[in-house]
Amino acid sequence: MHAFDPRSAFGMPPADTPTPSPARLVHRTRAMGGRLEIHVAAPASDAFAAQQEMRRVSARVGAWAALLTRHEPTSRLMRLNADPRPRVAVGPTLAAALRWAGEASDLTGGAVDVSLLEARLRAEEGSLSEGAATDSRASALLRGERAWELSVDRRHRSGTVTRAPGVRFDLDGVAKGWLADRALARLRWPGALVDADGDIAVRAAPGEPWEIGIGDPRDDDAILGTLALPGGLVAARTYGVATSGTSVHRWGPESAARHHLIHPATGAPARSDVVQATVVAASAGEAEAYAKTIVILGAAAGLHLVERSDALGAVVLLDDGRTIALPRTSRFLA
Amino acid sequence: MRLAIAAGGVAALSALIATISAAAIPAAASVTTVKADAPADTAVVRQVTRVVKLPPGVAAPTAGTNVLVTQLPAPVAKPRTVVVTTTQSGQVVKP
Repeated sequence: MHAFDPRSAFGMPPADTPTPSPARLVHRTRAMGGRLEIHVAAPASDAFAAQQEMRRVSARVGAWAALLTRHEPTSRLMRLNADPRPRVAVGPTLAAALRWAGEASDLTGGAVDVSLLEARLRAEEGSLSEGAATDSRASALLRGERAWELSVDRRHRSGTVTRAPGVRFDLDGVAKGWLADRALARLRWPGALVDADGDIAVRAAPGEPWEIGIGDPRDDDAILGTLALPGGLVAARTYGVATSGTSVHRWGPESAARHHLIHPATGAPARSDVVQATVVAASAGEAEAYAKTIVILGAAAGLHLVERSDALGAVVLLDDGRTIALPRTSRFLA
Repeated sequence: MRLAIAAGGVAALSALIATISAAAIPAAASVTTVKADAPADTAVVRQVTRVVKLPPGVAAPTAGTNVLVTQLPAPVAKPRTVVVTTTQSGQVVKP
């Protein structure tokens, strides 16, 4: 006679039956001008459903990104930028993205600012010199004023943007992490990961950690370290990992190279001792915002801000070649 | 930890470093600090690294809030088991 196993009453296999580890499935495509990868840990029996879900989410990310890009004149974002009126109604997706942009600005003490498109374009063109903080926009920032506001119609999820004359938006600095978070929320599997061109939203199931390498911008085949992100004891846990730096989007000769990360107080590319910063946080949006802040403010002020935040860790490559980290990061460093 | 950092005293800082060295930092790592309330440039980092190496009881040159950091080992070859990597977005321009 067999002893009664209460697990069988809940449709669970007997205790001595090994539970098969879920397979790691991946869907790769391109979006937002870079790579988009969706990884799911699902039982082999659910592989087909998982692949379908990944394709759906991938298509949705592409649709969101098309609304928010500044590289397409017909996007919702560029229609807003082209509109001369001080108050402009915006749709739900752009309103949600701008709402997050405002929160990112608040989290980072204004270091992350999506209203600096003009300064970035001038940096790309090489027409902006360091310390050009004399225009009215920079002066307003130094007084702690935000150049724009968003009011949201909660019923219809749309919004209205009110902005100072000449303000145009660039969501490149906040959209990828935010989109990764939104995409992850649409994946129903306990273990899932969305890699939006290096900004990553991940959900780890209990006992199924995800390992994420921190890229070395000096060597494609090297990593600065590996982050092991565990699930909770009884439930899945969500993280964001994002990296920002000055090794990409550089223009001009190396001796006077300009990059895309604009310091809001100067309106010019940030002068920083940080080559690259990686942050672990509760969401990819937060991680992206904090990583940019460290690069923009420099290691001292940037890490000071992040150390006081809810961020879970930070790894920073300095311009003298050293890699440093907040001590709290050590629990994730494999 | 934050109370000790806010105090800015070298004694508290030394105790904190000892605690972190014993409890949280891998054996291969070393400790340095980053001065947080001065202008952010490379010199600041190096200046405070020097402060940390001062013997206990020697006052720091300036008062203020410090952020403790650990220094990681040199980069390593990417293991084949690591299939996801966080990177800067876009094409890296190597020096």
